[in-house]
Formats: sequence, C-alpha cells, structure tokens
Amino acid sequence: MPPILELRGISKAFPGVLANDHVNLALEEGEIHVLLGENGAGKSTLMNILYGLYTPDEGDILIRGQKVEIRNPNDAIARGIGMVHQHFMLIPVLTVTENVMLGVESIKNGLFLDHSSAARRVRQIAQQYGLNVEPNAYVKTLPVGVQQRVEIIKLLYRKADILILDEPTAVLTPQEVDEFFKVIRSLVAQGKSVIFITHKLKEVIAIADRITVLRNGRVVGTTRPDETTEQKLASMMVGREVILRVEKEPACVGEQVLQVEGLSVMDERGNLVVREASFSVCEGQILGVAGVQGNGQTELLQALTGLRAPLSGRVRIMGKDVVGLAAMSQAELWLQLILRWKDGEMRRQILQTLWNNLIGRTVPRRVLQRGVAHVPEDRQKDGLVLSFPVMDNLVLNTYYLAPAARLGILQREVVRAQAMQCVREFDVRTPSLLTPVASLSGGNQQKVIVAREFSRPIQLLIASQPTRGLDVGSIEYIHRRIIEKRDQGCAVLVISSELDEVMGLSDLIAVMYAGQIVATLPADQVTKEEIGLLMAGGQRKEVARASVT
Amino acid sequence: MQASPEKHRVGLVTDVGRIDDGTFNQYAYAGLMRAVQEHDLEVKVVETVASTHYESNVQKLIDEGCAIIVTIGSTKGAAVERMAMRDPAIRFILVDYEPLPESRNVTGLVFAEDQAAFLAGALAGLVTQKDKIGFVGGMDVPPVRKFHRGFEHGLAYTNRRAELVHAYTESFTDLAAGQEAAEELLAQGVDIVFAAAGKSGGSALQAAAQQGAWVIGVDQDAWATVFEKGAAAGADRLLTSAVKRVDQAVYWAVGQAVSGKLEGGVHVFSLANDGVGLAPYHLADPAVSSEARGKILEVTETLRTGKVRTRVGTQGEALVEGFLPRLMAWNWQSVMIPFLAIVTALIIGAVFIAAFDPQVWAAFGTSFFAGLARAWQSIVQAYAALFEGAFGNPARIASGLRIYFDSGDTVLLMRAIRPLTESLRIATPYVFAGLAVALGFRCGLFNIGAEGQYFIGGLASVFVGYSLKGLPWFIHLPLSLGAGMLGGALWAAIAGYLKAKTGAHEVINTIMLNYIAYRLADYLLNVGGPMARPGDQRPISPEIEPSAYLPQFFPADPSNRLNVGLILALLAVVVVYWLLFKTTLGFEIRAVGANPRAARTAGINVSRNFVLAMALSGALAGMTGAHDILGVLHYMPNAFSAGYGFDSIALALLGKSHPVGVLLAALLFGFLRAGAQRMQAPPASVPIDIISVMQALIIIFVAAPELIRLIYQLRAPKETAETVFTRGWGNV
Repeated sequence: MPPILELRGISKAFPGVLANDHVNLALEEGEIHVLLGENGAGKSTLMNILYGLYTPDEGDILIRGQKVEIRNPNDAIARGIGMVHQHFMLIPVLTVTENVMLGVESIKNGLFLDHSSAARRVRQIAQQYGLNVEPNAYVKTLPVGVQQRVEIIKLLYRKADILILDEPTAVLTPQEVDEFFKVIRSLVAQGKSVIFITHKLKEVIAIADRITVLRNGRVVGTTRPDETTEQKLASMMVGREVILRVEKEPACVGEQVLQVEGLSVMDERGNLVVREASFSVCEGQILGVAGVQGNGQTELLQALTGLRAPLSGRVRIMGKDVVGLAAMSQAELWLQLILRWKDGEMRRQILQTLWNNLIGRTVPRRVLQRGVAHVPEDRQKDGLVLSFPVMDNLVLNTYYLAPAARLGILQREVVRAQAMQCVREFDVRTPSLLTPVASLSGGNQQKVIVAREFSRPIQLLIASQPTRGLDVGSIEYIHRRIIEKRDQGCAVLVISSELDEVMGLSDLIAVMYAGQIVATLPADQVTKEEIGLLMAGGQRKEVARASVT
Repeated sequence: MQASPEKHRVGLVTDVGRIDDGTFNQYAYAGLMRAVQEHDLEVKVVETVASTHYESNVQKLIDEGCAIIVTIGSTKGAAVERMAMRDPAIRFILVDYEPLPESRNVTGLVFAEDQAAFLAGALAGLVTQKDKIGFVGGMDVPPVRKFHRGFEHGLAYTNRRAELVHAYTESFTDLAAGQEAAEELLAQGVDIVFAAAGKSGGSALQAAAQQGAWVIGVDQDAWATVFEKGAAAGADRLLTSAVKRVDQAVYWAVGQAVSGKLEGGVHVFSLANDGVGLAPYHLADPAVSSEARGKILEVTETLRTGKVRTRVGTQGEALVEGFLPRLMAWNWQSVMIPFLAIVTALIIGAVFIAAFDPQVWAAFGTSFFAGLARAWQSIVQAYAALFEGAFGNPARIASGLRIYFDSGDTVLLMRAIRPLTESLRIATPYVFAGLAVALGFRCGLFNIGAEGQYFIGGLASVFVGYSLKGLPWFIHLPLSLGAGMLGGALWAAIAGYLKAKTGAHEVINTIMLNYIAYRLADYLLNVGGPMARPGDQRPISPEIEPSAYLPQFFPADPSNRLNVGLILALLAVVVVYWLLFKTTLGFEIRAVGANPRAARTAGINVSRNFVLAMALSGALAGMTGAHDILGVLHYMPNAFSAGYGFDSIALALLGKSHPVGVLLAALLFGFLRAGAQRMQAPPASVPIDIISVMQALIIIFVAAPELIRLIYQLRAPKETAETVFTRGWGNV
C-alpha cells in the first residue's frame, strides 16, 4: 500500500537561498511523523508547500500514490489535509461551533445558519476522539489547551485525514501536553495521520512513530524513537555535538540585589494581574520564575523594569527604591518631601526623583542606570529596532553616554569600535555592522540584545523568555552566558514559560499562578511534575481561587 | 610600554604546529619568506605549541614591534581581531578568517573553497567508472559545506549520472571515525573519495586509497601531507587535491601591506587570482585521460571568467541560479522606482495633454494618422515648453553667455537663465516644507498640519518684520526668521504635546489646528483687524521693513526673486541630515519612529521626542512661511495659502523621508511648477492643472511601488526593513 502522503524531491528557492532542497518525506497511514529541525531548517516552508501556500519549484506531492497539485489551502482541505498553525486562527468572540463552521457553514431553509446540526456534529467529533469541548462555549473563555482542541475539531469537521500540527506544544503546560498527546494517539488509533512539527527533543521521543530531521533545507535522516536518543537527534539537527543539559557550578550567594515586597500591578484593562508578589534575588543567584504564559509574568517584569507603574508595593534595586517614587505624582512627591524632610536618605531620593522628572529621564532609564540589564520578552517588539543596523542596536540604551556621545553628538567611530568588540565577543553572525538587524536570524538577534545588555557593568540581569524560538545551538550559548554572569556575581531573574529552561538554569524557582507567587523552592529539591502542578494552580489551588473572587 | 611598530618588521604566528609541518603553516611561511626577500623585511616567527598560547604569541609579536602580523587559523580569529582593535597602527593578516568589513587594520584572507572543490568534482565526474562518489566531511561548518556543495555541483557539471554519497565524521581529529567513514562509503560502492575533514579526513583518504579507490585531498597537496611525499601506502591512488594557495595569498597580502595598499576586511582568493586550484596529479598522472585534462582546463577557465558559477554561498548554502542579476535588480529598486514613477507620470501626462487639446480631436476628425501626428506634435510642444520653462532655452543661455563674455553685458544672460532661477525660487519653500513632514515621519508622526504652521510662521515673521523699526538687517532678519520658526514650532508642539499626554492622534489635531490657524489669520488680517494694513481696503498686513528682507541674489533685477532663502534651504537639508543621523537627539527620534516600544524599553523618553520632533517639524514649516514673507511677498495677505500643506507630504514621501531625497523631490516640483507656467502660455496652451495631475501620479506611483513593479515587471525585493512613515490609528 502506498503511503497516504508522499513528498518527492521537493525543492523551493527563495531569492538567494534554497529553503527546501530535494526533500523526500513519506507519511504512512495512522502514523505520527515528527518533523524536527532548527528554525530556518525549512520545516515551515515544506508544510506551507503541502498546505498550498507556496508552490514548489520542483518535486511532486502524492496522496495515496496519486500525484496531486495543491495550489491553495482550499485544495489542501479538499484533499484531506488540515493544518493547526502555531498561532491559533480562532475568533475569540464566537462560540466553538461558530468557529468550527466558519467557511463551511451548513445552511438550513436556504438562508439560515444551521447551528444545531453543526453543534451536534461538533459534539459527536469531540466524543469520538476524546476532545472534550463544549460546543456552545465562547472561545475567549476557553483555556489555551482547549482552544487547541477546537482547532483540531475544525480540521476533523472538514474531514481531514492528514493533520499538520505546527509546534503545538509551545503554549501548553506539562500536564496539558500529556493530555494533548493522548488526543493525538486517539486520532491516529482511529486512522488519522499526523505530521508533528517541533524542535523539542523530549516530546519527539515520547510521541513519534517516525522522525525526519531537516537541516539547511535538506533531509538529514529519518529514524525511529527506539533507534535514537535526544543527544543524537540534537546533533543531527545542529550538525555537531551539543550540550543539552545546562552545566553549572553550585551558586555562590551574596548580598540581596533585588528586593520585591508586596508588589501589585494592574494591566491596561484595570485587572489586578500581579498580586502582592514578594521575593528577592541575591548576588550570584539565579531566580527562575516559572508559570504558564499570561499569569502576570509580563506585567511583573514591566513593573520591575519601570515600564509599568505598580499599584502598590516596593521594588528595591541595590537597596534603593527606583520604581515606587517614580510612580508618584509631582504633588505627592512635594508632599512627601515636606513630610519626610528629616529623613536624610529619603530627602535625597525624593529630590533626585524630582530632578529626574524635571529633565525627563524615564523610569526605565533610571532602572537601567542602576546597573540592571533587561532582556525583554519580545525581542523584536521591545528589544530591537529592526530597521536599525546592528551597530545602532548595540547602543540602543547607551547611545547618550560618553564615550558613545559627546555633547549630544554621536561618536560613530567609538560606537563602531564598541560594536565590533561586542559582535566578536558574543559571536554575532552578521555580514557587517551596518546590516539591519531585521535581516539577522532570531538567534543572532537575541545575541545582539545579550551583547548589548551584558557588555555594560551590571548588578542585576532580568531576562524574560531569553531563548524563545531559538535553535538548540543558540539556546546553549545564551544559557552559558547567563550562568557566566551569575558566576561573576550578578543577580539574575529569569522568567520563562519553558519549564525545562527554568529548571535547568535556576538556583531558586518561584512559581507564578494567577498573579501570585504560589511557591518559591530550591531548584534541586523539586521535580518537574511538582512545578507543573503548581503552574496549573494545583496544590494551593483553593487559596488562589479564593483570592481571585 | 610597548615599542611603536617598526615599519619593516613582520611577524608570523602559526596555527598549532611547526612551520615545516606541511600544512598551512608551511605554505604561509613560504609565502611570507618570498615577500620578505623581495621587500627586504625583518621576520619574527612564533610557532604555536598549544592553542592556549595563541593569543600570548600574538601579543609577543606586538610587543616586539612588528608592523605586520600574519596569523593562521580561523578558530582564534575573533580574538586576534579584538587585539587588533587595540593597536590600530599594526596591520593584521589573518589566514582563513573572515573579519568584519568594518575592520580597518585586519585583513582576512579567505579562499573560494567551492571553486577548488568544483574542479575536483568535475575531475571526479570524468574519472569515475562506477558513477558513485563519496564525500567525507568533518563537521557541518561553512568551509566544509562549501567543499561539499562545490564538489557536488562540479560533479554534476561533468557527469549527470554520477551520484554523490556522503558521510560526516563529526570531528576533525578523530582518525578512527575517518577510517570508518571511508569504509562505510566504500561499502556503498564508491570508487572515488573526497575528504574535507582535517586529520580525520586524512585517515579516510589513506583507508580508501589502500583499498584501491581514487582519493582527492583538500587544503594542501595531500601528496606532501597525508601521503608523505609518496612514501605512505596508497600514494599512487591520490588523484589530486583541491588546494588553497595560502603561500600566494600571504605573499600578495604582505607585499600590499608593505606598500601601504592593503585594505581591511575580507579578501577572497579564487581561481581569478590563482588563490585556489587543483594540485598536480603525481602518480595518478597516467590515469587522467587527455580529454579529462582538457575538460578540466576548460572548466577552470569558465569558472575563472565567471561564465560558470559554483552556485555555492559564503556559508556553503546552495545558491539559486541567476542570484546575482536578481540581487542587482533589487539594489537598484530604491532608485528605480521614483525614477520610473516620474517617467510613467510623464507618459500618462502626455496622454492627458493630447486628450485635452481640441486640435487633436479635430485632426482625428480628418484621419486617424493626422490625429496621431497632431497629438505627437502637441505633446512635444507641451514638454518642450515644460523643459524651457523649467531650465531655460539652452540656445538663449548659450548666446547670453557669449555676450556676457564678449561685452560683460548681463541683461540677456539674466533673462535667459530666468526660468532656472524661478524654478529654484519655487523649489525653496518646498524644501523647507518637505523637510518638515519628513522629520515628522522619522519620528513616526504624520504632520498633516504644515499648512497651519506655515500660516502661524508667516504671521509671526510678518509681525516682527513690520512692527520693529530701525534695526540693522543683521539683527532684524534673523529675528524675523526666528519668529517664524518659533511660531510654527509652538503651533506644532501643541499637537505633539496632546499626543504625548493623551494619545490624541496628531493627524486629527494638526488638521484642527490648521483651521484655527486660518481663522486666526482671518481675524488678524481682515480690514480693521489687529494686524491689518491701516487705511487699506484689502485684508493684508503692512509691508515689512527692508531690513527684514531676505537679500536677493540679483538685486539689479528686482523681478528676479531668487533669494538667500535657497542657501538657507540647502543649509536646512544639511542641518536636518546632521540632526537625524549624527546626534543623540536624532538617534532618539529615529528610534521612536521606527519602534516606540523598543525605544521606551531602552529608556528613551518617547513623549518628549513626540513633542520635540513635532516642534522641529513645525519650525521648518514656519520657516516656509517666513521665507515666503521675507523673501518673496514682503507682506502677508489673508489668502496666504499656497497648498504647501499637502505638497509637503508628497515631497516627504517622494524623498523617502531622507533630507537629500526631499531636496531632490523639491527641485523636481520646482521645475514642474515653473515649467507649467510656460506650458500654459501659447503655443502649448496646456492647462496648468495637468501638472497637478502629474504630481499626483508621481506620488501615487511612489506610494504604491507595486503598481510600478507591475507595469515594468520588476521583481518584488526581498522583505527589507522599510522606513516607517507613520503608524496606524491608535496603535501608539
């Protein structure tokens, strides 16, 4: 019997590069076939070809042994191919059923949408494949894991036999991942075939029937989980030996650098998203904040770096409250100045804040000037000016300081020399210092940020999702650099939704759930499962619930 | 303290190994010695024993005062590059390392491995009998990839049937892995093995040769290294080697350095400069047929001249055929699109000119060809008038010049160049106005209120111009100009402040401020108003004092209104350029414009920059008004508007928000406007509105480059970072 889907010699060129170079791939019926590769290895291009978004320059697509042409996603759907994108394509204000029937609406009496029969089918599909979803629920009210099921139901509703899942686990907690794997297994047990795209090695071994590794647009090899190891797969992906485990000496802890007490923060819609968070980070220590995305980490970080005024609480960096005073209004400051005139230290700080306000020095800048490095969560939106050259991005927050500038005039030569130093020191692969940072790979973009932040004298490093979307090689590099900073006595706060990353890097783990730090535990005394449970609101669930209502 | 570098002292640091070890070290040394003899230099050589000594060895040579230092090996390149930054007086020559193009005193000598491999592949394709060839790679790093792909493409070039199989040892030193890889390939039935895997590759070659396969080495002639000058077993199976001529490269680079001609950055050695090639066939000589030799020479030649390319990129990636032409088309597009936009607008304008000429229709009435002929005639007439109106009649300028040189009489010359000066006069305010909007765009602000700021600037400068009396010009003129700029700046800053504090969109605010400005001018200038000219029935201001006039270039001819404003406009271009690209303020403005979130995260005060950029933009718009008052009109009428508000947006778009681009766009508009006046007059008699239509078309085409690409079938450029003009509504 021919494979249900076969790609033969697929090549696709973009100006200047071959994204796919004679790729062969065969998907057997009822198989989970993992497509593994670093970013830019050509996975997405290949799947977009399969889904009709690109046309291949060369090669054939065969479905059940028959050559087919797929010109657009509608062709793909008609041939039973469905794809769940990494970013869900759901409309939050519609119900599950409405989302599912969108584009293939069933009509009754020639005019009206047939909600009830659609809902019936959704329920039936949900039951058949163990995808527990309420058809009449609004999508915006559903957790991410359930939204993902809705996406899968969408495909099944359209009678897809071949499911392409693009990085499906990126948004899930460890528990949700287990649940998700069960669903996938039940799908294949009932005859569906799955192409599973990922770069997470652990999952590959757990779920795959077969694994195809892509590198530089070529198939490096196809293997089975029982014939390989994570280590081997990593080398296949990267093309050399990689260290998967973060290797580090025990921490050597010193003075407290960052002290957070009772910090509460609101988001722009006025919801209290960080509640009374308290923790501290010491010299030579890495505190990792674990948590599923959207549990207040973003706002916590914004409050710490001065990008968002906290509602209450205190943030002390090297003993000095940088954020709190700055959040006060001018009138409040004057009042405080009069009231606390006697307190010499306080007086000095208030006067300084008044001065900073006067000259328009922003709070983020005051924080940075206290020796804080900030690796933001979204490097392209917050960390870099993409249209600027590498050189300018390397001085994005120090451009005004001597020697990079004198009397308000940029010293291009100095900036150039500093940039060159950074690029070499941090191994940024760029054709030139004047290359716009937009044209670098994600890993190299992150290296630009790391180079910028690490190359100034810092006492505290705040890094959010430092390795999101990066390839194995870059992750290894960035982790090494973070550990290095710690060993130099820097205090480090890492916020990441990758549990493995938090576990590997941290000396101390704080778990965040629903805006609260629900636990702070030494990293060597907890298991992944315990943390996963805490992340999902377990154990101290009741407490968290009570405070939400 | 270290000695200052001595001019003729040259140092060499080897990669781990000795200078006679048959590897790059030996070749580099040989090349260096050739240069040394030729140029009579003093040499210091340090052999590196362990890789940890490398940097201190380089430092040793620096301390000993070498003026030129040659180092070998890519792994420590970055470290040497860093050291080089500290000693800009010393020239560093790094073999096999690619420094940044910005390096001034570091020259990297790199080799077109792909070309050497391509030749080797071509040879393999000719020699093989089983049509199956093996490649042994070390690790998947760029140089190895270049060998691999180059070999693959060369093989395919001479032998379409041949198949290439590969094995990677994942090491450059593991001898056993090399042997294993060779055996694995031989088991698959290959009859030629090409290895690029360092020592590991050497062992692969030996293993394969001993089993009777042909082998091909890399980097140096494997005859001397792997097969110990023929002494090792299997030497008779060495076909050739794909060599990098390190000796050539070092010899050349040192020679250039001595004569001070060596430039920093990467220098590539390829077939074109004898930097790579194939080693002699040695004992395999009889096995290579004369046809094969001929074919290899031919391939060498075609590669050398670039007729055939290896299709391998610098990182060893496969390149698509025709990449270079495509790249060139892409680089040209930023210039081509405005140019094509203008051409297209002229063509469409021609259609309009013909269509609106009643005589053309009449001629069509008699016969189709008469119609065409008449249309052609009227188009030529119109554009000739446009040209003459913009630049003057060349014949008259020539005769004017002749008379001037003969008799010193300038009257005719002045009259002949009058269209040109008039174009420049019209272009002057366009420069200011265009710069105003462009500066706003750079900060992500859409200043649609240049018109209102122009009014306020005019009002302020005219007030200072007529109300202050008895001042010397060098005080009065700058004061009036300053008042105009300040007026515009404050007016625009209102919108900037509102945006910064409340998020109110500047487009709305500036439009509203425009209306306020118009009505304010109404109130002030209307008969009997506070700024109206006493005793006059027209709504105009009093005449300004001559001490506030912008001096004219040709005082002898008062009707020629070209004035010092042009110089100020050129100055403004320079100042805006300097401000945007050379100062920290400009850095902030551009950062805020390109990515306000990242700017805020980096500690830049986004609000302040909004206000400042708006004020600067307004100052330039105010300057436009001041120019028109002080340089041209010398009073302010109520109906002051000249439509700069919207033209300025067009100018900024056309100039891609770059000061120089704006200058060129303003000149274009000046020429079009001035030319249009001549076009309007008989015999062309084309309505002046045609020019507005053409300006609009140019803008449409520049703003929608897809249209131009569609018309001229240009390829869309690769996704690049475009200048952000402004952000959508309410996002900021």
